Parts: sequence; C-alpha cells; structure tokens
Amino acid sequence: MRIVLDPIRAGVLFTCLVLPGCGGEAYLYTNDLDIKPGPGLLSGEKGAFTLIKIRSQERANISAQPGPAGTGPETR
Amino acid sequence: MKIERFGPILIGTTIALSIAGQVQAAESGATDSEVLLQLKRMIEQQQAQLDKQSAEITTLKERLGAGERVAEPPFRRKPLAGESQPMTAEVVDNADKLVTSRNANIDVELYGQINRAGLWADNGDSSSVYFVDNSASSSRIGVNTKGEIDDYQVGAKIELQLNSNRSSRVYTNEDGDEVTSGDGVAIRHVDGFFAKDGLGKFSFGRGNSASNGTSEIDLSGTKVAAYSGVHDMAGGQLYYDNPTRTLSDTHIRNTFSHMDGLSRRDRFRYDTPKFSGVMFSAGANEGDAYDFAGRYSRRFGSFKFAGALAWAIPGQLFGGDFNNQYNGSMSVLHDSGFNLTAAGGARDAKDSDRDDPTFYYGKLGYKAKIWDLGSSNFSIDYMKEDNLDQNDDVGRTYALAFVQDLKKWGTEVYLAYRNYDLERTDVDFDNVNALWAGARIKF
Repeated sequence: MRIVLDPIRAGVLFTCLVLPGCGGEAYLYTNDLDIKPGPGLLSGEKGAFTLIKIRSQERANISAQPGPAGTGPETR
Repeated sequence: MKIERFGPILIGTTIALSIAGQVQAAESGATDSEVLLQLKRMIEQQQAQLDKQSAEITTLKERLGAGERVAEPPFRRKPLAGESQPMTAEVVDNADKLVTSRNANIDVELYGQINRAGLWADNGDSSSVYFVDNSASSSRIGVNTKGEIDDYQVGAKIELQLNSNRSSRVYTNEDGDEVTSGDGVAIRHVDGFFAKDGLGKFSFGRGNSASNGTSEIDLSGTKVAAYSGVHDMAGGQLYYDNPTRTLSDTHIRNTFSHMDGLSRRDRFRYDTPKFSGVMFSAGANEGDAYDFAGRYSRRFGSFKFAGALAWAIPGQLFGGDFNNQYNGSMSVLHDSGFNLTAAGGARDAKDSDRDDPTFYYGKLGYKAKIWDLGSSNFSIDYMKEDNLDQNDDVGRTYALAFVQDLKKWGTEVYLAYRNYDLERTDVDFDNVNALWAGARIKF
C-alpha cells in the first residue's frame, strides 16, 4: 500500500510527533469563552458560589446544631 | 467527647441514687443495713457500667485520632432517674458531633455571567443599533457538581443559555423593522462524567462534542470581542445588493463559519489522560455523527503554546451534505504580550457538483499591562472563507479589537470593529460594517 502525504498533512503529522517530545513545562489551556477563569464580581476569588462543600476528612457535623468552625458542611 | 466530664456525672449519679434509695428504703420499711447494702450494690453496678463506657469512648477517640471514619450510630446514654438535665444535654450535644460518616468529597457550585453589548451595523444602505447578547460568549447560568469517591472523580454540569436578542441573529428587514432573536432558554450542558487518573474521562449527556472548541484556540485575550467565530458579532445582518437596490436574503452567518468541530451535542465522549501536554478525544454524537480530536498545550520558556486538530464525520448534521470535516487552530503567546493565532478548516462535500468549503484565519495581538486593573488586550484579525453558502463565494472579514480586563471585578469591557465582504457570482453586495461595545461580567 502506498501512502501519499501532501505537505500540509506531512507538516501536521510532523508537528504532532515532534512537539510532545520537545520538553517544556505543563500549561493548561482553557477556553475562556465558556466561563472565564478567575474571580467573579460577586462571588469573589473563587468565581463561583459554593452551594455545598463536604470533605470526607472532616469530622462533619451534619446536625442542626452548628459545631465548631470548620467541622460542618459549608453552605452559603 | 471528654472523659473528664464523667466525673461530675458519676458524682451526680451517686447522689441521685442515694437519695432515691433512701426514699425507697423509707417507703418499704427496710432496715438501714439493708439499704446500705442495696446502695453499695447499685453503686458498684453503676461504676462497672461507667468503666465500660469509658473504655468504649477511649477506643472511639483512638479511632477518630487515626482519621478513621466512624459509622456507628452516635452514643447516647439514657438518663438515669434523678439525673439532672444539664448533664443529659451535655452528653447529647457531644454525641451529635460523632456523626461523621462520609463517603466522598463533594462540591456544588453556582456560576454564571452576563454579556451584553450595543451593536451598530451598516449594510451599505441603512444602519441600525441593537442591544444584544454577545453570541461569542452568551449570558448563562449553571450548576457544577464534582465529587470524589475513592479514586474516582464524578460530577455533573447543568448550564443554561439565556437567549435575548442574540448578536448573531438580529437584523433589520426590508421594511426597516428590527427582527430580534426572541427570548428563550437553551440547554448548553446537561452533562455527567466520571474519571480516574490514568484511565481518562468519560462524559455522557449534552455537552461539548469531542471536537468542540478546536477552531477556537486563542491566547490573545480579545476572544470575547473578536475571534475565529466571526459570524457571532453581526451574523444576522443581510447583505445589500447595491446595483439592484435590494436587500438579499443571505445572512452573514450563512457565508462565514469557523467549522468548530461538531459544537455541543447529545453525545458520549471519551478523553484520554494528558501526557506531555497531549490529550486525545473521541465522541459518538446525535445524528449519526462521530468526531476525534487531539489537543496540545505547553509552556516553552517565555512562550505559551496551545493547539488542537479535529476530524469529524458529521452524518446527518450540517444538512447531511458533508462526508468529513477537518479543522484546527493554534495560538502562541510570548511573555512580552505579543501573540499569534491561526485557524483553518475544510469540509468534504458529498455532492460532486459542490465545491468544498474552506476557511483560514489569522490574528496578531498584544497584551499590555498599562494599569493594575488587568491586562489591556489589542488585536487585528483576518479571515477568508470559500464556497460555504454557494460555489465560488469568497468571504473576507477583518477586525480591530480592544478588551480591557478588570480582573478583580470579574469583568471585561470591550470595543471592536469588523468589516464583512462577500464576493458572489452575478451580484455586488456592499460590505457590512459593524461596531460593538459591551461588557462581560462574571458573577
């Protein structure tokens, strides 16, 4: 079977094969047309309102009585 | 729970039992020695019970200290006769704090943005001003849920787009009346996923197809005002044929497309783990459509690089007129602020009489740090599109854009000008000029 590659496809293939081997540092690209990363006007640094946050490591107090700070589920 | 608290409990219990015992003894007429013996036995029994409970509490404390989750029901001792109420309340309060059983880390977040602009458009014959929702990044609201169960990440995303006078749809008809896109809510995401390190991510529901976004890689910071989806700014506008003085029925959005994969679909999608910045995706979509994509992002010294390539088999999508679609984009940003973006794509028409639509796009940008408010982003771009609506159509467009990021406020304000030009056989359309100014506010 004969495989023919035009220059554009050959360039794309070359780029795909070579770039991952070029080293560099990790960098995460995000499409900021979805939701721009970073703070929000009202939500602050996090950029979102936390409705529920539960951590399994915490001694969560899920009773109606509030426990000491940091021990219960965070609800805003 | 503190063991020391059993000291007062023990004393209180002893006193209470003594009083109760004495009363009982008096009523029954028993002798003093019998009463004392009875009290002694009761105290010994109570002491044994307290010792046993103390041992259980010590065990529980050790387990809690080791980070072990406690699944047993909370310890709650029945109050003894004559035991005072404050002591009972103290025990119950501490018992509630032992309810700690949890299987997962869970985050549920509410997010959203509004993106509104004033759009002026001139088709060569007349001009109008519209108050629009920016179709490049529409106003929306969503709920994002993420959790971790053992080594798995699971989650769901529900996101709604709030359509009100979309910039890509509004136009003025031949009677001079503004035609709006109307109001409505569109579903962007109803999407669930599960993922595991080293295994990848599986997504199902309505959401980004594997190839969505692959024509939109852009590090300029001006995407919200001008990017490869050039039809989002004023795509609803109709071309005006000057020689015949008639308004055509050809919208700008019919003649420009950035062929961005298969957009958002009802689909099943798989993403590989990332290795050395590379990730591959595959999807099976509604309409008998399939798509495959590769994405790459990496930092090399003072350069950030991101790129993507995609191949889609549209099936019944796009009118069922195409066998395949190929597209991709890349962007490079230097620490100096200069950046370069390119995109391109082609569709393989099923009809042999139909020429294959193609496009290419380029953008030069500069991110300046003039104020502490956030970066000031400038760009100029150009796009050429062939054969999208008809054979021998040649569309050209260019834009100048400025976006000021107000980082602390989660806001971008923008201003952009774009010129659209369509060459079509046997007609002479005027260029369409558009200018918009607006703000995207993330709340």
